[in-house]
Amino acid sequence: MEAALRKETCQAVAQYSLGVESIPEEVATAVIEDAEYRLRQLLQEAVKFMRNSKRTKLLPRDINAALRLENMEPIFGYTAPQKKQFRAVKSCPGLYVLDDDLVDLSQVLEESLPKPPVEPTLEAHWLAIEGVQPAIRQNPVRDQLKDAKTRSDPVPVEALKPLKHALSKEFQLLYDRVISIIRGDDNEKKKACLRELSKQPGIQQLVPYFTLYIHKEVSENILFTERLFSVMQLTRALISNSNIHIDPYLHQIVPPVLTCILGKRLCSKWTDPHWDLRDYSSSVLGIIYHQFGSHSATLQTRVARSLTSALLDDERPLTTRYGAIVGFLSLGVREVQICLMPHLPFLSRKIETELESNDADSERRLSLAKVYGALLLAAHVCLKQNNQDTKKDADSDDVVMKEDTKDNAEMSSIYTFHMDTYNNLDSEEKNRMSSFVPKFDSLMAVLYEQFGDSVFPTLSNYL
Amino acid sequence: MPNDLDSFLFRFVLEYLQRKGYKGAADALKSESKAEISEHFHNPSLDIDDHVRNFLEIFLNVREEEKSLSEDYAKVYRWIDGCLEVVRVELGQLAYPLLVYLFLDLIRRERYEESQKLLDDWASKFSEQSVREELFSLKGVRKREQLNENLVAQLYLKHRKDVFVSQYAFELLCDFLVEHRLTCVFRCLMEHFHIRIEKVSQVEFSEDLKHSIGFFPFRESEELRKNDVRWKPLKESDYIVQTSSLESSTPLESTMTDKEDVQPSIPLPKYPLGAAVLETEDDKMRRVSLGVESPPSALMYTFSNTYDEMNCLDISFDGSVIVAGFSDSFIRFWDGKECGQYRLIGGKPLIGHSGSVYSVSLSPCGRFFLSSSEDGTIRLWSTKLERDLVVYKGHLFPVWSVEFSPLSHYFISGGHDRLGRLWTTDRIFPLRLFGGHYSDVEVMRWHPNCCYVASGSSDRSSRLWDLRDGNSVRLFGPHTASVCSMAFSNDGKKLVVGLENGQIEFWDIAQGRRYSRVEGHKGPVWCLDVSKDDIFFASGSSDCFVHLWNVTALDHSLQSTVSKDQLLVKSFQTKDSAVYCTRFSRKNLLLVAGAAL
Repeated sequence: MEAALRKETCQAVAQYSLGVESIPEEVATAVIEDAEYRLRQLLQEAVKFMRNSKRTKLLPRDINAALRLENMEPIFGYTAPQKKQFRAVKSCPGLYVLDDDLVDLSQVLEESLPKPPVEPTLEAHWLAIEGVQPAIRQNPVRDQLKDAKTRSDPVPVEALKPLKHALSKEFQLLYDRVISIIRGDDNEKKKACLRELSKQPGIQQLVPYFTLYIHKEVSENILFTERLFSVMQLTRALISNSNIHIDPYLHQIVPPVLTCILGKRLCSKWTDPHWDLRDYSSSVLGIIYHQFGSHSATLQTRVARSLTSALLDDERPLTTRYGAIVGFLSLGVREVQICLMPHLPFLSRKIETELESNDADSERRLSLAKVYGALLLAAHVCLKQNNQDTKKDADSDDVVMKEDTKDNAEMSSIYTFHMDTYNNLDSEEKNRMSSFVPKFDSLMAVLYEQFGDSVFPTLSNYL
Repeated sequence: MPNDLDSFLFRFVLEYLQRKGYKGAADALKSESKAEISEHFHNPSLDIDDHVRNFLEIFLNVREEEKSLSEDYAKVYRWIDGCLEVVRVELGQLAYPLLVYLFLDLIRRERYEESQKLLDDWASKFSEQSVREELFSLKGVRKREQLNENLVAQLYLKHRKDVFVSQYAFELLCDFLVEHRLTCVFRCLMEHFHIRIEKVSQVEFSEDLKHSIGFFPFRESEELRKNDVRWKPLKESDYIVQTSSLESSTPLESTMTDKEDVQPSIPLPKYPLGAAVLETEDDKMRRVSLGVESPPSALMYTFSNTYDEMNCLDISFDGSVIVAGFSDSFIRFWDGKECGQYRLIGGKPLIGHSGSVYSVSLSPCGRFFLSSSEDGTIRLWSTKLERDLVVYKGHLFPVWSVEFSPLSHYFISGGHDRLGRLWTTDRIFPLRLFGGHYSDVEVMRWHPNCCYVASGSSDRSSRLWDLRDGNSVRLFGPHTASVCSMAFSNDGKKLVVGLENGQIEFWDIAQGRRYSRVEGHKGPVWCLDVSKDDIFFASGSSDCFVHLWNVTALDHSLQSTVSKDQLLVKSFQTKDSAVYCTRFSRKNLLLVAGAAL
């Protein structure tokens, strides 16, 4: 309401856009006063158009409608929804202009036409049934119905206040200390701390804070392998603590773990031990999967689905694919057989051809080798299981009872494999690089030792 | 009154000349003047009392050295603000109009800089919704010539402001003005105000006055209140074709009825029993009886992908047809019976208008509908043929509102040309013009007995018009903001008005009195409807809420104002869709429609 046009504006407009060199002060004042009057009139009319269009926001088309009403030419070019920013003119305070974009006509003509807007759709649903709003998709969630008023049974207002989670000073100190240790470099302290976390029953109150920390730390330090590793260690300690109740927070813990397995890039340099991180994180995922899978209805399917989509998406990098494979390995033999084996031929053929072509750089080659190694490991696990199955068939008694134990045995062997890599990491940092490629070879050797020449024809059954 | 002032002045000068013995000058002055004034002059000193004499002396002395009016106004404002509570409320109503009139006077006398200073200094004190628009418009006035174009200025200059004050308060004010020699203020009061001295202090009025200090023709409102409004519903015999067996008995009965009964003021179409326009026995039998304990069910039609383009909506009484008008001049209609099963895409687009469509109204039978548009035309469409049948040209400017009468056949429209119009579907020219609003007619609604129509306007008032002679019979207001929606109760007794600032006002038509005003919504109230048994009003707004108001509480309460808590029964929240239309079906199912934001 207070805004008023200034006479300098009039002079500037006259000079720059109309080419009138100078206009006397009185003329400028007279013109600008009338301009302001017209502008106010126009705005009043525009508001009526806005109101009758049942909007609460004034749009350029309201102004244009008002202009048409006053028998003036509408202003074109501002009805498009893109945001334009007014720019202050330095030489003339109080004057703001919109920059006009340069448009290349030939380019515009060549471009394909923009998509037409989607047709309006109509949907019918119950807003209320005998005065009660049903909880359906089309209605707002019950929490949002704050203002809803029921006369017959008034809801006490106090009950709706959000509960404040108060943390005592001691707990705050403990939390700060734990976080600083986990972030720090002192391995001894860290180990002791993690050991304590995996047993202490008294840290229940801190669980939400730790969960939040895990979530934040992973999203903020996605390129720092060491930090991620510490976070995963913390996660593992928490979920293996049988004295605390962590179920309600699982839905917050699982995504960071999955990120640490499937992340496109979890390192600042490619030589960082992010492969180990993936192995370790997948072991964490395995624990969650087996320990809590039975409690939560959707957890297992959700995990399996995200791993499958990561595995089969051709767009994803090799690192993600590796993560998906080790992830499946950690979930158990049955999951490997169901989800991974059908795709094995497809995956391995692709990688083999690329490995043979020999023109990739060393980073690429390492990735290929790692993925191939993981695939072989998967094949190995399945073969072994098949072997046992056939034996079992021969035995053909109390199959059901034994199956579980066998599975567990299988699982633990995989874990030891991962634990080894983890231990390796702990002991030596420098020549990790060298330890990777031989591992692939040694694996082959193991497979060869176990199956002899037959490994290749057997493998080719799967490939 | 300016004439009075002149004659006062003239008489005073003449008396002065005579007293001093300037015979020649006095004679010359007398001969210059009109005969009528000299007639009065025979008893010069008697009819000028001390007050006026004092005033005139000051007036003559101070006239030349007029000080800054802004300071004068500051003195008055602060004095009023510091008065006793009783007096402050009464004199408080003077503060805003005084500012406006002083400002306009300054403009008229071409003292432009002073006028701007006055408004700049004091406009911020009055930031209520009701005057914000007036001040916005007035601020643009910079030159004397603009006074003639400015609507608000014209309103104020052509009408005197009615003020009710007690004797005591008025004397206090006069003393104050004389003491401080605030001649300009005094002159302004004499020229533009119609001060009515009341014996009893009008404090009970004050609540109302505080909320609506903007322009409102109180006097007209009061005079119109004297008119009789026959608000009773129609007899069935007025619009139902009687079967021959009954005919022998009914005429006798109808002649026996008393005068209170409503006679239709326009020829009404008659329908046989069971016509689609009328309520059927089935409707009455299976109507859900509502109450505070048994609120209605609500069926919501949610539109998506409308991109702010949808302007208006109407749903037929049985929910079988849904019509929407768009700002790209399309009208789309949907078959409501299909949309329970799946999402309907697109609807059937109808092309006819050459501008935004601002209002649609379905006929009670659901076979026809009307649309009004920015291009100034109204079109009649058939849902069966899916095309337009008639174009009604009459309005020159955008038509904001159109509504079919409850018995079909007639319809009303109102638009930017500040006029309401009555039409019949078989004539292409209007039958009646309803003129009187000072600003756009935003909403037109039929009274249920088809003898009256109501119009709501952005001049913050609503009127009731008699169809017989086209005259205004009631003026409701002042409202605190522009009218966005209106609804009559089915018994024809009450009018509910939804305002742009989210408030809802309940009015008694017969007495022209307001029952209550409640802070209903947080956004403009786009739609209102009443349940068939007159128990609930449903209001919908841009704040994504549908509120149910219990109207029966108005009848039972003895208080002059009823609070929001007593009226509000239930609120339904939609999922981020502004509510454009609420309608009770004949079986009391609440149909709600809105566009997802």
